[in-house]
Amino acid sequence: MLPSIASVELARLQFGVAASYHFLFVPLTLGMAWLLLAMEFCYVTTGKEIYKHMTQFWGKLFGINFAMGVLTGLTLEFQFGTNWAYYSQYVGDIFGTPLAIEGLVAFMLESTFLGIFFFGWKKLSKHQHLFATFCLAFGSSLSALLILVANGYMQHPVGSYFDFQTMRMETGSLITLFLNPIAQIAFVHTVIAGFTTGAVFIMGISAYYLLKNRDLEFAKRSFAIAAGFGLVASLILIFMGDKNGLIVAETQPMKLAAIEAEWTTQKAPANFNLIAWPDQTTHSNLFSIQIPEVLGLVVTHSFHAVIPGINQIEAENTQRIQNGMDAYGALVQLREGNKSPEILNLFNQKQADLGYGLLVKRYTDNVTDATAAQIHQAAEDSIPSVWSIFWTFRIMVGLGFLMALVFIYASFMSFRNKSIWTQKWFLTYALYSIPLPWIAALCGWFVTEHGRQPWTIYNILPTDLSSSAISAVDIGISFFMFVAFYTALFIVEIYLMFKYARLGPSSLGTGNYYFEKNIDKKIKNLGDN
Amino acid sequence: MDLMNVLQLLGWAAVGLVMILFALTGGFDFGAGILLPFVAKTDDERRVVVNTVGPTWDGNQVWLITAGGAIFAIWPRVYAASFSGFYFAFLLVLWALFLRPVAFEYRSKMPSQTWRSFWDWSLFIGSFLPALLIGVAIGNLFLGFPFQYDPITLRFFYGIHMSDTNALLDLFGLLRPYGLFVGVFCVVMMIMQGASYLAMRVSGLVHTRVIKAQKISAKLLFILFIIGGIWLFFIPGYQVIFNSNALNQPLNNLVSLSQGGWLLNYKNHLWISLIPLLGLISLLFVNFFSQKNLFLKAFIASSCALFFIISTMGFSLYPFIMPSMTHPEQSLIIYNASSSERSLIGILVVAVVMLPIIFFYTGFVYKKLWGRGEKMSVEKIQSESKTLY
Repeated sequence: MLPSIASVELARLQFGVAASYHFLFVPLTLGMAWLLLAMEFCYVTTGKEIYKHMTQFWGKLFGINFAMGVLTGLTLEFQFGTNWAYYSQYVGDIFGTPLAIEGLVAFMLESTFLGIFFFGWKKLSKHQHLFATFCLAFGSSLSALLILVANGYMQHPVGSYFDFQTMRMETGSLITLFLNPIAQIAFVHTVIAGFTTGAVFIMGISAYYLLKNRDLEFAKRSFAIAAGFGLVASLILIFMGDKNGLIVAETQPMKLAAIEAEWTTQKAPANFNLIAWPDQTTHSNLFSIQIPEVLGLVVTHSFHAVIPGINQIEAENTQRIQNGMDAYGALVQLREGNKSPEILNLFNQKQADLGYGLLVKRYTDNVTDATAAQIHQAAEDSIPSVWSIFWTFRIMVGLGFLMALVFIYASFMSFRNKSIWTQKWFLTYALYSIPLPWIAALCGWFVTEHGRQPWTIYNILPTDLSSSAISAVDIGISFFMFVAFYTALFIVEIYLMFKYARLGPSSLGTGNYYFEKNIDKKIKNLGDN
Repeated sequence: MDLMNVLQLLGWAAVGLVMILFALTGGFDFGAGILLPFVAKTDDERRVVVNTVGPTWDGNQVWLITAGGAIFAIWPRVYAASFSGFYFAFLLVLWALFLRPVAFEYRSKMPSQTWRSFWDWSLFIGSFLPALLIGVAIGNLFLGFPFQYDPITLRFFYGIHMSDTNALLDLFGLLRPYGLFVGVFCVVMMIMQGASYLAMRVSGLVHTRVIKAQKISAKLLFILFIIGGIWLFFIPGYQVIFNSNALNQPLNNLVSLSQGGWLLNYKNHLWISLIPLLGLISLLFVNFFSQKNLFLKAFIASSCALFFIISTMGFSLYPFIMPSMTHPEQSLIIYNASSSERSLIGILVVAVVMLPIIFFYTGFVYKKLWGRGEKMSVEKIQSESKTLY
């Protein structure tokens, strides 16, 4: 009756790949839109043409990236329905609302003004065009907010209750849903990460022009705007990352314990595993380098708060699974029409743990007859993969600090009035930093989503139950098709991105820039793009 | 009828409205994409067509995404059942849609003719295939699907067994004559809307070809619409006895099946017959205005035609969304598939507030782009080669 494990795993892989792929394009859109607005603002206030050219040129790269963001985003809206049908109907009542609002309110705004951003330079007044760019930037950030409200519900389901008659989570309060603290913090964290990405991208490519000694005026101004933007963004980013940690400690203790590879509960303030090699089977770290007595300080900002370890939480989960089995037994009775007060009472008492009962459905379809061994197995399943979460988290944080250093150094040097334009090592460093924000962002999402396992809706709906009743072969075929399409399109996108980044502002056809002034063989290859 | 049933009815209207808005706006750039290889031969001509819809295709396509989102939020069960039930049909729509953003954005970024021709055909496929397949899916709604629910968990199963379905085989199950017919019908609808839009915006040789497409498609649609209606007489149609508490007893509808059952709504409420009638009249006006070279009016007539034709489909099916042919009592209707009261209120309030705002700023954008009566022409493409698509 349940979908086969292979089909669930393939559906997960498909969603993970599709979401990661989407997130290759989203952060740049999020950040660059505001950077474009900043550049255009300079144009409108100073009247200097060069700022207009900056907006247009970086806008071209923005457009190449945006197209991919649109098509990969579309996939995600389809994925919930195609591969996760039970999930969609179990939580669609509340989860669908922010998604529908996202389309209507945010994506519509962003997309409508995208066209006029590109093609409206001659048709709008300066201020009107600036307003269009603002709508584009505002729409993309608003879109992120609504998507993260939806994602926040998966992490920390608030504002809903379970209805046994409709067999789904129903909306209790949309306001509570939208004010979900985890969504608010994830939103700021994500958008600021996008700003950092945009800043690293523009700074890196500007550094390339400086290294090549061309379009210097253009490159310096772009570099300066990006550096200033990036400094503020990366510092806020670190602050928000810390905030994010606090809220995870509060709402998802298991995820936090996995991030820190804390198997047994330690006395407060616990030791912090700087580096470790967690082993899932023995519930221990085969190797670790610890910093004594700072874990509590880092994740809860307190000397006294005890951070529960994985083993302790697992023991609590075992109890919750037993409660959940009772809840499931009562639910089946209710569904079969036996609505006697005792059954209703039992169900109401235990329904908070219904999700935990569903964890054993993988081993026994009846749930209520689970053996001790099966319950133990289900409790083990409630621990996400520790080593992968532990390490991706550390990569993310490390890269975050590394990026902040670039911006701090650039700002420091300009503060001391020293020119960074001639420091070749630094420009090279800035150029090769370009991939860093993407790696950090993907690691961050891996921690968030893989750390949410074994749930699709935390504590409510296990991943195993969430998928569609589609055979593994079919999901395999669709997965293969996605990979083929994405790879092909990605190659095209990267090719164009490199081509236009190398070409620089000469691609605008204004006649002011390097390749247009220096007639060499290259220009002939460029054609009339 | 209590408040909940009124909300469910409004939810049905909202989903229909968003679909119609997609057909009207997305319709013309899907239509332009289908017509592209045929009405434009040279590269400059093709750029004329691409740039006519270029600045607005993205916003228009959002209506399709909003339609998906609206179904998710208003009818979660329908969203789950249709996307997983029509698995490969919907994935084909998605994969074809992949080609559109990149085709618009990338086609003119390289000078090579092969490159550009490749993206032009991609745009054609990305426009043609979704129009066809969405039509096939809508056509199949009239025929019903094999599906059922597990009574305890309400897990959805497509096919005749309660087990993982073979989705690739199910794809071919959708290729039934009436489904294919509605698929073709939708393609012609998009062509008419696309041609009507292009007719207002372009000049030169492309314009001549576009008008021809407009007249042919309007006439063809007129005939196909009548055939589609008559065909319904010969298809078994579903009827349901109203149950105000259907949401809490989703698997116990009282459904009957009868020859021509889809036309009973017209028999019981004669005023509904006005809707297809107005659709036919609008189609005549498309042709009429096109003959008189009144292209704005022809476009409005074409939009009205789409509005009435799609409404006709909705009113014929009402209150069904997805009938089950194997378990008719488990069919999805607007009363057992909807969201809860609070969700419906939330989403409807947002829609009522947002729609006027969207109309306002979209109107602003179109006015700025085309308000001075500009036409897209080969000369304009050549003079702004670097900034246009």
